[in-house]
Amino acid sequence: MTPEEARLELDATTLRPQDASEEARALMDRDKELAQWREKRRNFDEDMADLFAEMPVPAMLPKLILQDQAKSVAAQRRKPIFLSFGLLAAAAALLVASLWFINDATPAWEKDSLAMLEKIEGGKMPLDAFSSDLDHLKGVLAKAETPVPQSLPSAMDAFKSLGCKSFKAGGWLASIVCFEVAPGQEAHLVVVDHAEKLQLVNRKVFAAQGEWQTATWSDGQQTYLLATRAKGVDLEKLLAQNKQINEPKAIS
Amino acid sequence: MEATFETWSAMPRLQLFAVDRRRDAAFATSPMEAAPDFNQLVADYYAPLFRFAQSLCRRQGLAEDLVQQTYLQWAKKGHSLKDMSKAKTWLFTTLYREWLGIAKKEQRFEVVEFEPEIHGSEVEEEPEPLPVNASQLQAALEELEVNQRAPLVLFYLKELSYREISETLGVPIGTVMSRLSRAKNSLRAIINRNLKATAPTP
Repeated sequence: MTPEEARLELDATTLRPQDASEEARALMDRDKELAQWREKRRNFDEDMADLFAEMPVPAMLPKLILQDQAKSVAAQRRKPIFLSFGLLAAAAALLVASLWFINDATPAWEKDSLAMLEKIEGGKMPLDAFSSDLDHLKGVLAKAETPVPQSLPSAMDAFKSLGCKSFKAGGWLASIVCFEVAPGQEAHLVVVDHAEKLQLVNRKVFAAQGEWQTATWSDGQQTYLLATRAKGVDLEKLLAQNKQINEPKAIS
Repeated sequence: MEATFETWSAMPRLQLFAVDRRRDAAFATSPMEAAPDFNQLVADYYAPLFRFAQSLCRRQGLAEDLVQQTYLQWAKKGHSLKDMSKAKTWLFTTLYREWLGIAKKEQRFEVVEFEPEIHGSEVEEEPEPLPVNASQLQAALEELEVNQRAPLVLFYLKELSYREISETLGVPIGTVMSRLSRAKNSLRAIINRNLKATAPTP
């Protein structure tokens, strides 16, 4: 460190001597003239700093700052609310869009089927026949010349049939076979012939349509819709027991 | 060349600086602990920040706005400061940047500084001035070029070390030292000249 560098540093630390380097202080200790010069500078700086500290400051300033901060905090707290409103609005828009999409994309035969199921469960439309004997119901359907389910998910065998009904879905003859899958819980199998024209894939497609959880698939010449008001996971569990829809259990 | 807002923004962050925790109540915690209490920050620094702002812009209303804006920035972004011991420097730096932005819009900030070491001249050390009062000091300070006034005011506020002044203003430490030295000499010269001008003729 040169004497000039030490002088600059000592001059920059007159009011905060602790900030001066040991090297600069050592130089000052050895150089009386430098020490005297520094003391003179320090006295001047102390006087100026004292005068500077007398510069008036608006008394209201702290209050204004705290008011600003309070407003800022309040605004930040409101943000999540606005965000929530935004998310809700987005969710609502998405829901409307989804409903529109469902309504628009759902094939007519599915819409008709669900409408019929609504009526049956609401007691507005009676079944054609009631029986816990599936074979009996199949006979009723055959006699009515409406689709008779040729294959069913194997898990359906474990459930008691309740009844059946013939109707028209999307202009096609269709059949409904109702099962009790749990106490007080029903699942309805809709069967439509002419699978090739409905263009459904073999794998099951799960969907939520209003209060209904549905699964649709095609198998051979027939197309199936299984609908329940039970939870979607229950429907998936029900059908998971028969994952390979291409290997249906033949109904005799 | 004077450090402009752009050059300052592009400068790398400087190293950590020690904090006098006995004096700075707002930083009575270790550097990496929670943010200092906002009220304490206001109580400790609103006055020096205002004086710094006032010396920069020379308008009380704008100075108040600058201080309020600085604290507002702290309320919004202060929590993201990694080393809370640098909150004080952050406040002064933010205020200075805010003012630079305003000054740039108003084109009030000179970008070229007369550097004696570059331009081949050195300010002579002035004799000791006669005693002055606060308003005379303020008037003298206002005559200084801003690139001398800013470091000198920060120096007289006693809040920042010369290293922290360097960080706040975005200029090298050596430049801060030389500017401080020349600013003090210039201030003496201005005070002496003003006193002579107002002294009663015999």
